[in-house]
Amino acid sequence: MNLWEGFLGLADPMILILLVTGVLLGVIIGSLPGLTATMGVALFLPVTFGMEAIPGLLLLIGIYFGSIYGGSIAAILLNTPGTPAAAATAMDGYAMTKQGEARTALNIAVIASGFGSIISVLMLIFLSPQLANIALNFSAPEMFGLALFGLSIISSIAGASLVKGLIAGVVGLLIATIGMDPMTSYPRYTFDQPVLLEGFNFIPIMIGLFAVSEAFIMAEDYFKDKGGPMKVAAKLLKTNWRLMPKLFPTMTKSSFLGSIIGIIPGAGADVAAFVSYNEAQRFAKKEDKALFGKGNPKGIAAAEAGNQGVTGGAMVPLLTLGIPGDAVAAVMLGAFVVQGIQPGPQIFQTSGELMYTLFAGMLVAAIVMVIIGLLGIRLFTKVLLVPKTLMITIILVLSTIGAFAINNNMFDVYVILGAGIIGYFMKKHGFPASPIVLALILGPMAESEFRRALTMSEGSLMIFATRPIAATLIALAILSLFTPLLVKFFKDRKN
Amino acid sequence: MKRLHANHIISLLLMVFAAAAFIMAQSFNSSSGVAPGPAFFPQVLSGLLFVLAIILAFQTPTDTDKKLNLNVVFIMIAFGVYVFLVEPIGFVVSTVIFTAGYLLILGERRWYFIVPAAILLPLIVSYSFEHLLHVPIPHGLLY
Repeated sequence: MNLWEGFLGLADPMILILLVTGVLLGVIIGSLPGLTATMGVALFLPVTFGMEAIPGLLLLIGIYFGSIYGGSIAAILLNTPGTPAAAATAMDGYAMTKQGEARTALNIAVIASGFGSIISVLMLIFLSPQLANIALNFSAPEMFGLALFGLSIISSIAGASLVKGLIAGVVGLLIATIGMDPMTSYPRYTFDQPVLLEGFNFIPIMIGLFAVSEAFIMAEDYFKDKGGPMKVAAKLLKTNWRLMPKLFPTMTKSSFLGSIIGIIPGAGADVAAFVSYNEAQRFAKKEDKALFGKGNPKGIAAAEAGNQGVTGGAMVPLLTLGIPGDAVAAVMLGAFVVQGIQPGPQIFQTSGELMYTLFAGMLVAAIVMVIIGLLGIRLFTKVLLVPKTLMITIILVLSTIGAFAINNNMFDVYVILGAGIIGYFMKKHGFPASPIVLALILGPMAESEFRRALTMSEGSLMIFATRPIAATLIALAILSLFTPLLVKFFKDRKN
Repeated sequence: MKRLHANHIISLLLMVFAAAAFIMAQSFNSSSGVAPGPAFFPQVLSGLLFVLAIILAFQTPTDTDKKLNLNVVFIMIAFGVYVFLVEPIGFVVSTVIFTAGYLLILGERRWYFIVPAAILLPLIVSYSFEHLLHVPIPHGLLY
């Protein structure tokens, strides 16, 4: 167990300052409705280019953790979830606010979130070396199966229309083929432009899709409804601390549930929050059950521990297999790649020490988050007063300078403009953005492992059927690709 | 399929895109022995995209508010102008103009809010990137 050494690696005031900054920024971003965890991490990813791996990654992890928790603030105080993951929190949280218990609700949310983070990071620490060890023996056919499985979750994150999700995914895969062929270096779709030889970097595309296009959507909403800054009417009175011990069983259970859901690629923080909430309600005693949705503290505890549990859980497949389970994880993967760390089965061999320092940092981030959440709540309610107009402008300026910082060239800045405009129209017409990013990351892996496998087998596709792990992964991929279709089919038949 | 819908236009565009990608991939040199060459993946994918585009054309559209908001077009153009000004005239000066202009476009009229924002935002961002994060920023002609 190298975790102790990991903590020693954090003994640098600079690292701790960045960790606290990250959590603070995250809570602020999360608390502002319209700004998501994905956008927060994507916006600040370029900031870490000039940093060392540990401080840079911990800054982003702080933002990730902080923003998932931050979403609960506006959910509780204004009934407007700051992030989609906080929608379940709003049900009981806002009800408590109306009963004058806003402060208690907020403190339950932060403690449950801290619980969720810590339990999920502990699961990450115990599970990921094991999983990486199993995957260490994978060769090309298995890696192809893995990439295919990662891609298959596009169907579960597609949203309203499966066809549109798949189209977004396939277009992403095609964009990923632009540039030099990974096997033969043959230039594909480059139109003799030298900038295209390296292919599209997925980071500016992510900034365009998750930050710039969101800013355009915010601007449109603002034009439609010129609501002034949100005002918090609720009074922040005393906290009812005696409630807390009764909530620990719910928090613990929901944290584990959230962590497990986080490990499953394709199920994100919003799913985890609702599943935990439903489970807490299902197992509640009769008189307690009726209180859910009417200000039951257990509802907040379950939803917040559940959605925060995803943070550590999602890191398991991300770090050990190189498969991001959702959009935030995809952006985090980009952050690792920027630092020259390739997530995958080898990660504990190549950057073992660094991993344990990061794990230790995540535990510290969870504690920092609880402290900041308990002490800083008045500050965060002030953040809600920032005018939307200024927020939109700041997002666009940060996106621009961030894109430039990637390679110190303007090409990436033009990419965020293009991706931002395309992303806006995609959203308007019901095409989800996350499949594109997933495809950009996993496409090159799928292609080169597929061709490498066929070189191994001298052209026979049987290699994918005869190797048990590869065959299982491919079968799982097909299953997870068609699950949403089957579910829909059976639902339609029922009605 | 009574009237032309956004889905039909998107589907047609995607089919053209897929066909073009497929045809262009035919010229990709593929002499890599037994394993599929550089043309294989692009062709499989463009074929798949073509099929998906056909399916999309037959989907019943779920209509919501899809009218193009002219204000948003204006917002995009303004951001585009900014992006293309950053290199020639420099990040700081172009951001001062952009911040003030954008706040005005978005309907902000309080000068005591716009002026400090337009001065502080570029300075804070450029200082943090250059001096705290050691990431260079473009200064162009004016700074």
